[in-house]
Amino acid sequence: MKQFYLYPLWIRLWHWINALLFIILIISGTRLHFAVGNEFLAFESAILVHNVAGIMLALAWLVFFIGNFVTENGKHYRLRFKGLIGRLIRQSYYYAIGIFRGDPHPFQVSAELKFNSLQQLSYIGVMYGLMPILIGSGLFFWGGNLWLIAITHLVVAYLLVLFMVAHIYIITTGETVFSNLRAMLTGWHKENGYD
Amino acid sequence: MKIYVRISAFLIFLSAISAFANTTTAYCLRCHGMETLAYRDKSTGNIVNLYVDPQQYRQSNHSRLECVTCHTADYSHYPHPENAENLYCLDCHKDDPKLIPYGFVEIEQAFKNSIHASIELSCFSCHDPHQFKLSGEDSREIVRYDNEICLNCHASPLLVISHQWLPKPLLHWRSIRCLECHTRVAIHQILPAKESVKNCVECHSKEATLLSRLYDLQKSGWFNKAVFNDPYIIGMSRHESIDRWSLIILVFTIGGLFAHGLGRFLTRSNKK
Repeated sequence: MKQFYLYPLWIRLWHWINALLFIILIISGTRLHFAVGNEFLAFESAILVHNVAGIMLALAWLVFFIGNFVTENGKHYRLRFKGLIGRLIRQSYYYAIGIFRGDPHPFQVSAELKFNSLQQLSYIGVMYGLMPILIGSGLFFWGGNLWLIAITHLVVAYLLVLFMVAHIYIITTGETVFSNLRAMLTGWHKENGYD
Repeated sequence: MKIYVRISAFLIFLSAISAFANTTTAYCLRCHGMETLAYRDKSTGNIVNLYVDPQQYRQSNHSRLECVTCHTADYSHYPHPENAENLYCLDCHKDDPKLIPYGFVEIEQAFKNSIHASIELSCFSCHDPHQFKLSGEDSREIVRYDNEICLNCHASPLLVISHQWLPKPLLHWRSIRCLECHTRVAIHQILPAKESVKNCVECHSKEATLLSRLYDLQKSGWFNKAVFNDPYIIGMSRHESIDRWSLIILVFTIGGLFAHGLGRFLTRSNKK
C-alpha cells in the first residue's frame, strides 16, 4: 500500500467550509430566485444569509488564491500542455468505457500531481474562471439591480451547481467509493493496489 | 358717407381680431409667461403662483388646447372676474371615448377614498395640467417622474428615518415608485402610512403586484427590452428559458451520473 499526504489541513478546512457555504448559498439562492418557501426561510432572512455566506465564500476564495501562491499547492493547478489532449482522451475513455471493464485508472496520483488532466481543467475553470465571476457579479448585485449582472450571477451559479453534482459523483470513482472522501477528511491518499 | 362705412367696417374687423387674440394661449402667456407673476392671497396669506412655463406647456399633453378651453371665456378679458369658471379634469375626461382607457372615473373614485382626499387635495395638487405629460414606456423614467411628484411635498429628512426599515432604500427609490407600497387597490388611492405595504414578498415573488402595475416583463427573447432597461427584482424577474434549460441540463446530468453509477455497480465484478 502506498500513501501520500495530499491535503494539508488548510486545504481540507477550506474545502469543507466551501462545501458548507455552497449548500447554504444554493438553498438561500433558490429560495430568493424562485420565490419559494417563505414559511421555511423568510425573504429578509434569506437575503441576510445569502449575503453573509457570499462574503465568506469570497474570503475563502481569497484564502485559496493567496494560499496557492505561498504554499506548494499551486503546482497542482499548473497545466502541462504537452500531451494534454492525449491525457484528456484517455481519462474520458476510462470514465466512458474502461471503468465498466475494470481497466486500471489511467492516472496515478502522486505528491507532485494530485489531479488528473480532466480534474485539473475543471478545477482551474471553476476556481480561476467561474468563482471570480460568481463573486464579482454577487458583489455588483449587492449594490444594484441590473439584469445583466443578475443573469450572469444566475448562469454561473447554475454551472457551479452542475460542477458540484459532478464533483460529488466523480469522487466515488477512486479505488473504493469512499477512498477519495476519506482522503479529503484525513489528508492521506491511500492506494492498496500500488506497489 | 362712404368713408364712415369703411371706418366702421375696419373698427369691427379690429375688434373681431382683438376678441380672437384675447382667447389665444399666446395672448394669455404675455402675462402668465412671466416667472414673477404671483399675488398674495389675503385670506390665507399664501403666495399664489400664476406663472405658466411656456416651454413646458408646449410640450405637455394639453398643448393643443387654448387656455380658455379650461379657464373658460370669462378669462378672455382683464381683469378676470372673481367668479370666472374653471373646468375640472373630469369635465373633459369623463365622456370622451378616446380617454376611457385611462379610467378617469375610476381614478376619481379611488382618489375619493385616498388619504389625500381627506386633506382636501385635488388632482391639481399633484398633476399640474400645464405640464402634464404621459410617461413613456421606460420604467426608470416613469419611476423618476412619479416619485418627483410625491417628493414635491414629502421631501424631508424624516423620510429617511421612516424608511430605515427598508433594505437599500436608495435602490428601492430609484427602481420603484412610492406608489407601489403606498397604494394597494388603485394607484390613486393613497394609503395612510400605517396601512402601507411593509411585506417584502408582495413584490419579491412570482405573483408580484409590480408585474401588473409597473413592469411588463411578459416579453420574451434574449435581447428584449426588459432585460436591458428594467431593474432586476429578486424573486420576480426571471428569464424563463434560462431556468428551464438549466434545470433540464441539471436533471439530465443527475440522471446520467446515476446511470453511470448503476453501470459501475452492475459491472463491479470486472474490477481487477
